Amino acid sequence: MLNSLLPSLLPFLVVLTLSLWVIGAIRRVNMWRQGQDNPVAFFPAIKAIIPRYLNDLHHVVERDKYISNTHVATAGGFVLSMVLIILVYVFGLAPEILGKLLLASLAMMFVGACFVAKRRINPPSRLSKGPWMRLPKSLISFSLSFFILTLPASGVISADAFGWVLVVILSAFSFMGLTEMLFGMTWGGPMKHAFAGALHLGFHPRQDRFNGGRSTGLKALDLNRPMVDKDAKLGVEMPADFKWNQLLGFDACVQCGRCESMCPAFAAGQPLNPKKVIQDIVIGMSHAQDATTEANYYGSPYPENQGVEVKDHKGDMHQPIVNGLIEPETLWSCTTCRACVEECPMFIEHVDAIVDMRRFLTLEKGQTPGQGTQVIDNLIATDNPNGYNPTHRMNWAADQNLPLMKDVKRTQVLLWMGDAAFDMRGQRTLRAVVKLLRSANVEFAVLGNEEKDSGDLARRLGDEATFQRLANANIATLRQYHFDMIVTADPHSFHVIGNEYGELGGQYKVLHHTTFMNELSESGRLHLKDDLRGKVTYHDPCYLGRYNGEFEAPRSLLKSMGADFVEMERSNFRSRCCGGGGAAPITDIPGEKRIPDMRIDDANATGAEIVAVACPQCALMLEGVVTPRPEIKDIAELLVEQLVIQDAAESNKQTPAEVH
Amino acid sequence: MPLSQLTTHTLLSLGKHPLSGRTRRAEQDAKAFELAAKLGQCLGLHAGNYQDADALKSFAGMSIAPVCILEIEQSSDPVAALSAYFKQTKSDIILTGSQAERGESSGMLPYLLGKSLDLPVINQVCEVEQTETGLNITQALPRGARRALSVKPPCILIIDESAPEARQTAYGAAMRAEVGKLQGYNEADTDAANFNFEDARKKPKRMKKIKAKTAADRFKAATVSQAKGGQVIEPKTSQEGAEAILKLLKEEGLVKTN
Ligand code: SF4
Ligand code: SF4
Repeated sequence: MLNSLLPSLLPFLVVLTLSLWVIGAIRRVNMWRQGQDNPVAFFPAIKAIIPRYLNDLHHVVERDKYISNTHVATAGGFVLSMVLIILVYVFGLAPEILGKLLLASLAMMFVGACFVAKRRINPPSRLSKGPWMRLPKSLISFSLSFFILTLPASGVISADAFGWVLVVILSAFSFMGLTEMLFGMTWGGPMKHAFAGALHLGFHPRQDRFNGGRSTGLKALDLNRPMVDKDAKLGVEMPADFKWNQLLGFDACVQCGRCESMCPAFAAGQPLNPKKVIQDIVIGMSHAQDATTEANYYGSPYPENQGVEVKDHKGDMHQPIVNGLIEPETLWSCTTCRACVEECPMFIEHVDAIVDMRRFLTLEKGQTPGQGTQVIDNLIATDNPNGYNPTHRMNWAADQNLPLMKDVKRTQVLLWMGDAAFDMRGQRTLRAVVKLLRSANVEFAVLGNEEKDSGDLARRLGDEATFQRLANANIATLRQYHFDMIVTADPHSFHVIGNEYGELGGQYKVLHHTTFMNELSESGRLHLKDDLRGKVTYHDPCYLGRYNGEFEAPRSLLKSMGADFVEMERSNFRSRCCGGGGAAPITDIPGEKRIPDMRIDDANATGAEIVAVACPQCALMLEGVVTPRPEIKDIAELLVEQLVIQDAAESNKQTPAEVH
Repeated sequence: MPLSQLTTHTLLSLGKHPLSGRTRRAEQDAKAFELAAKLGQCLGLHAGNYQDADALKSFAGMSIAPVCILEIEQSSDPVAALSAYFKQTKSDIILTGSQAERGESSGMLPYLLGKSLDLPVINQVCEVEQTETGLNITQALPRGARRALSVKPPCILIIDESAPEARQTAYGAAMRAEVGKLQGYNEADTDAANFNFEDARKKPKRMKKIKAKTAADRFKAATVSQAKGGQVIEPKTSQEGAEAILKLLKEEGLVKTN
């Protein structure tokens, strides 16, 4: 009796867990669909999953070689094994041949699983514990038990080599493995990341992020919705207000904590941990569904979270997130530096999510914290964040005799001044830029008092209305004039005008001053001495580097000045934020340390005497660090110091010339 | 008087940003509205043109109370209109700012209204609290001094600068809000018809020289006490004191030496 049932035991378990997998999958998809519409074409999305896994995802995972190899072995082994298990055990297809293949793939998975287990012996703090500690055991039990059971099935050893007791025990282990791998995948275990992650790759809300694309501009909000539909809200209040594929993305989080280890606010002890933000939303949206997720978080908490325990975070798909799942201070600590997004192997968009929730707080609740309210009021009344008289924007250039667009109408380069025009530190950089442009005989002009704040600050503060007003006003001004390109020394304006005005109808060629100066230097129009003294390091502004991929031009300029150049440990796409982005200095959420202090520590570790910067905000933040510290100089200032003025008369002449 | 029966009106006017001249919610009126938030049933009232409804939404976006426009002609007297309105509609508390940011900006409105309605007017109010029998009011006196008053409504309260900051206007709430309209209160302003308006002139201000070059220098300049020199004089006679003052004024070039 027992002997006759045994052979069907394993197929039965496989079919059982597979059916549960299907039911769970339908439930999960329905859960995500409670989010807002955001159509992505179905078949192209499905088709894109595998190439995106192999190119884009693997590229990110590969930054940790250990885990990328482990993942290929384990995941590849599992997928292959699962297909073969179905063929061999459920359909009984060619057990002799496929069985041997199955043995090979199980062996591969087993090796991978052992490496997963090794990583878990003494896991780094960024990794979540709890059920994640169980995963390697499940992987091993799945691969090993199936391996042994398949030995007789594939004819490697005699069919009745095992007694029934052993078969039952082995089947129990395979069932354990199957439960983790299949049931857990759609019902809320660690393996959930595979199901949600694969679909997220295909249905990602930013389709142009893949294939080497960079999609970093925030998406516009339809501000007329509340007028048309009284129930519609601006921004995200509860999990169901996110787009459905954002929810899908959050569900894909593997709790690897790579975001956490890169987050400057987390390192500064501010109450923000990007991984926890994502998990809080996940707890909210899925707790009704997954019996296991209630307070099911075993990673690092938010630092400094005044007495709020992880388990106190409660919410629901249709309950407000803020003050239920996430404290407002968490959202306002973010500098929008994108270090987390850049590092996330699951391509989760933390910054979009955080800004979505900020939008609700600002636009619907009127709860912008700190100086935020004042800054927004100033932007509304005076078009600059500090409430200076808008007719004084050009005062800094009283002695510069700058051509105004209003007069010339047409020019080659429109120099975008930014709010640095109101700040004495920023004005020094602007003067340097003007001097460089003149020395290279570039035909340029400025908007003067017609220029308004780019809207960057308002947008990061969640005030989409003020952003769109400023953007539309700037676009209308720019429309009156003819120019080949905009050049600016402010990476925030650079990003916003270049990547975020487009959606509102403003398409421009925008260059950061370092890019433009590098072109001038390479084409021989800027003559530089190559004897820059002192050791120099370079701090990548987030909005130039990670947001726009410009890492090379500033470095190449420094090298052409003959700098003794050293890189900080965290540089290029992994650069640490100066703490000045995303309106963080305005909301000013306290932590244990200050982000700019940590950045100066990074610089000190290199022994550099000069930190070259390329952003007025970085200059302010880093120069605000107490001395002794390296000198902070904008690249434009260094260039001016190294400038060879060939012929004074020549350089003062404003002869237009070609630039490429 | 039990709490729920109090009715409050806050008089709202349109402000004007001092630098850009842009229309905004008048700051003091917003503070008055903020205080009204905890005083029973409230209505925000603006005597003026209904064309300004959109601009008044910045008050509605505070989500404190509905906002209504008492529609009057340009040439009408708002005091007369408001007074007519309040004679019909009972209000226990009328909250106002102390001075409008545009128009005549005389600061007389609450007093004229008090006179016409025969209500007590309390100025410089920075805090109001409701009690069993009336209101506990904190009045702001010069140099940070405070005076506690207990007042029985009905009354008119004029807000002081030092009243708590007004909350932020939420864009979404403002856009969704509907501004009400009340009509039939026109009364010609005979006084204003003869007024001659001209732009106010600013008093010249002494310039401060800023020598700091770096953010760090400026930080130092802003934080380290600037007081230099000076001396404490304890004059024995008034003559001596007057001489010391005169000497200083001469040094500062504020009094010409002959
Ligand atoms: S959000 Fe991304 S980087 Fe952060 S823990 Fe989750 S998967 Fe890892
Ligand atoms: S954007 Fe930067 S500050 Fe914000 S959560 Fe990500 S890493 Fe942290």
